[in-house]
Amino acid sequence: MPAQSSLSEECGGENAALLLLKFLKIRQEHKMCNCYIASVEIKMRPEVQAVVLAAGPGMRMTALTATSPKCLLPLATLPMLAFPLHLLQQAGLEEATVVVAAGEEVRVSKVVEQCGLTINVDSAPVNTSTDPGTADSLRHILHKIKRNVDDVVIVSSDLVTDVKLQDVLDFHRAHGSTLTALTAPLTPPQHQPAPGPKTKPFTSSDVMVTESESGRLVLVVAGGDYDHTLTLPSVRSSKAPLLVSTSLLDAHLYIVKRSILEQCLAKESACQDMGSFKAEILPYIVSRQFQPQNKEAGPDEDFESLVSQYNTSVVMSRHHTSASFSSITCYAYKHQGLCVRVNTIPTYWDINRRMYSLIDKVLPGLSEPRRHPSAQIHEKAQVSEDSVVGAGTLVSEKTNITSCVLASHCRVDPMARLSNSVLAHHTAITSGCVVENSLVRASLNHKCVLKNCIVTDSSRIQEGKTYMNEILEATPEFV
Amino acid sequence: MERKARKQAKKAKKKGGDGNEESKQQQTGKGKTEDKEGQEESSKPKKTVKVDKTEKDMKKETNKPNKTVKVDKVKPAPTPSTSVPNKKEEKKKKTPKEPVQEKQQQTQGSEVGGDEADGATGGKSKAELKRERREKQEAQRLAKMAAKTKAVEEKQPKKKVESQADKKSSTVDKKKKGSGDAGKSGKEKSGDKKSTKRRIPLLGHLTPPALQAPHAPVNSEIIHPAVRTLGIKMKDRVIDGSTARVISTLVALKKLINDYQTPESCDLSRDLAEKLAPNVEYLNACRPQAVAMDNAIRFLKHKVNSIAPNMPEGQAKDELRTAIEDYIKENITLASSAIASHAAYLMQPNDVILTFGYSGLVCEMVEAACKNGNIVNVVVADSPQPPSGLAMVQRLASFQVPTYYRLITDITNVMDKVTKVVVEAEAVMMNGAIQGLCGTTSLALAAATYHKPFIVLCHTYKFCNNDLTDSIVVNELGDADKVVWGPKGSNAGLLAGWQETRNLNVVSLVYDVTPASLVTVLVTEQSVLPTSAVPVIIRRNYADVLGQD
Repeated sequence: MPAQSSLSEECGGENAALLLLKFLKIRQEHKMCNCYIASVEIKMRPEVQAVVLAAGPGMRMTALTATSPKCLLPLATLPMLAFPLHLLQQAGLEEATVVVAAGEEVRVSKVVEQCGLTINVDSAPVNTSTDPGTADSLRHILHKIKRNVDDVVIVSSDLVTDVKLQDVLDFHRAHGSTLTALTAPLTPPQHQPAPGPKTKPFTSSDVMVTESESGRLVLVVAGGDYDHTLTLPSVRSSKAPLLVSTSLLDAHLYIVKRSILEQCLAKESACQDMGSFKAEILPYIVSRQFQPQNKEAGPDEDFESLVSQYNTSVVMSRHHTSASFSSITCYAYKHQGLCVRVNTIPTYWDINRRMYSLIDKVLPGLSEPRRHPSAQIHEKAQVSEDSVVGAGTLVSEKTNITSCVLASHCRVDPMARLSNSVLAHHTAITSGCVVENSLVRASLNHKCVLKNCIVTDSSRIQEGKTYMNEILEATPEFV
Repeated sequence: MERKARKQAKKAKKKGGDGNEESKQQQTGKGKTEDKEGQEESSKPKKTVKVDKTEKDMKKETNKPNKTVKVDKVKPAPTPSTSVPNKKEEKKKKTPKEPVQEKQQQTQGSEVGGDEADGATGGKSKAELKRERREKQEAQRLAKMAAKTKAVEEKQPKKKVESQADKKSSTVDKKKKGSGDAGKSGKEKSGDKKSTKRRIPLLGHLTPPALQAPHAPVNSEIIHPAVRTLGIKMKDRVIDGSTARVISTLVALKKLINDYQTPESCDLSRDLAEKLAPNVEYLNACRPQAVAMDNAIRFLKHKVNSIAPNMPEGQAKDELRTAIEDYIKENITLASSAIASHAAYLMQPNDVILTFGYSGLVCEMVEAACKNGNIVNVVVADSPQPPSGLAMVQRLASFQVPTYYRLITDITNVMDKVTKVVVEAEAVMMNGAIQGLCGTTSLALAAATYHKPFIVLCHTYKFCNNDLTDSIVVNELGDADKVVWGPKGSNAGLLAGWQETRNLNVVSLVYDVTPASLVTVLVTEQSVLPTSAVPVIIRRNYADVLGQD
């Protein structure tokens, strides 16, 4: 090792010297040094392009998304979109294409600097008036996907996870996978009940059939695409034991080969009418694994058959000697850890409440303090240790705050009492208010008592009243 | 009221915190003085001190072995005047206990009772002196071990107390430092992942298998995607066996060359060689290179270097691509069929061939023999981990060849029926020794015992101008966990926690070396040779490539 390191040092020194020499020479000739440096840095072909789908309207949390787009809803003090972006940045990606609803581009591109991220965001607006599905969004930005990348990472803006994208990518590469989906065991929310009236979970869960050892995806049926019974088609050519699971969460993080994605999104393909990537295109690609294929008789450029002829590996893969793998193989990466999609009010509530303990896990390296230094907390205010206080928030004296999330620029007036609650940005709590287990997204200008409530419109609050299990939102115009 | 009470509680808390700090300071202060004393009085009657004592003794003894007895006889100096420090001392001394144990676990010393020295002072019995001597030896050994890991440790910030202790020991000589570092290394190592850090006696020089691919950002500017994918596949043993690895490596590097663009005012050959180096290193970090891979990469580097500086980029790239394709074609595809036909001529009807694991070449040979009209029987001996022979059996079955599948533990039972032993080599050394997958030598020995010919098939591009006489100096460590977890059954996982078990080593070596004397004949694409002809082949074919370094 020492020999090696000294060698590399030597090389480095030599390079530097060489560079300097050339540098001087060029400067003499052209007096343009920048040009030379730019020309030296020819980068290796990029491998992965990232697409963040952030145009979702948040149909399952309409109470919250009426006022702000879903991807900008705050989780603790940060907008939701920051989490997938940070995930990509951690893996070393330098840019990401973000699909946003038209009109939100500016706000979305501000997220990056707001949160101290360094990833370059290329926001692509889509017109949401026609209610486009995820597949439509992807079709819309297809021209932005570079022709020379191998894989496309598609991630939903509502994913909060502590998975390392590198691990998923390594899994994808090792298996020579066409499509890899991130999955995790479904976990019930820890903080219950969520504010608002009690609701039932309204969709049945996804059904995923995987080979239990290798994790190969055999069948995917999205929740809601089946009624009470589901008939599993007979699966050919699979000797491995199968695992049928309804308790796996599809995290909406997919790594797809660019070629297959382009094939599926092309105008003439069988999926040209499909609107949803997860519910339609994913099952389509998975099912294509087992369709007989006409083997392309072209020359074996990569010597793949030769490799498999001499491969002594005992791992079943397309390189295995006796492998009969088709050109499409799909796998599920099973993550044992935190992995949540924040797309319903209960999950939004749960993640917000847990964010105090999760923030180091899901945003490693991005030191977002739990108490922002610019927050002003009166010394006579009682703020419990497990509360998150955002930038510019003002907490007055004689207040009592336990286990709360106060986003940035909130104001809590004297004599207010908050417990187990979540306050959005720029909310003011007037003095004397008592807020318990509630989600407050509008300023409370009157003294009141809230229990298990969601507030998005303060005009419906009357002085001195008590509200329980209600959603206080602006009345729709048509009423 | 409530608030007042809380405030008071808070205040109390604050006070308490301050108090703690004070006591901490006291503690560290005391620690200093004790360290001083600790240097002078090496043995103390207290039980808690014993481990520490041994450590210090070891340090002392390595320094001035002549004085050992004298030093030990020094009676315990009076403990510091206050009664408090005794407790502190106990606390303090307890902490170093762990690293010492850890360290010994790692070194896997044969001395089980090494650290169990009792704290008796005064006159030494012979047994005690002996023990001391043993400790001394142990310390020296540790010092040696530490010297190896030192380079890493020196970068790490030293802990306060330890650095103080170092300062206090007035005669800091190198060995002493070494043993101190060994203790520290134990501490650090215990924090890290256990499996990677454990060194096996005699095989400490081999790098443990990589658990994770070397870190590189996605869309790295240095590592090509194809190389990266291949690296991970090799690390996970998705692609295994030297021939498959060579082909896929060359293909990956071909893709790199395809995507390569020469920067302006740079020579292609020079710049490309620079760009190749980190990629090759990446592959090497994922899994140590096989000899054959090394040869193939040398060939490619040689080709790159010999490209004329004024050749246009497109032409140069074309030349390299065809060179790679020709290399694969000549050295692997064509050579394989030549070897198969050469070897098939050695077969006679109704031969019973014993082979080991999966081997593409042996398969081709059997196929060629069948075509010649010689129906042979094949016995596939397999190692339980990894059971690559299963694929071999499957492939042979498609030729309609009578096949038997046995584990390698079983071969003595079939040897009297076997007429020839045929294996494929991973590499052939200059001295005629054969590097094969672990287990090949057992077949060679069995063949020698039963006086059966031992035939080795090998491509000549796997010839290597090194000499090997044993399988310890150059080898690769496999994943030991797989050996333990290998068989699926009720007692799988019985040894799951083997890393925590002292004095237990689980080793999985990838290769073994068969000495030339056990090889009857070597079948290459050039001819059927005795092993003594290996240097001739190497000189004739590879003078231009191998002669470079």
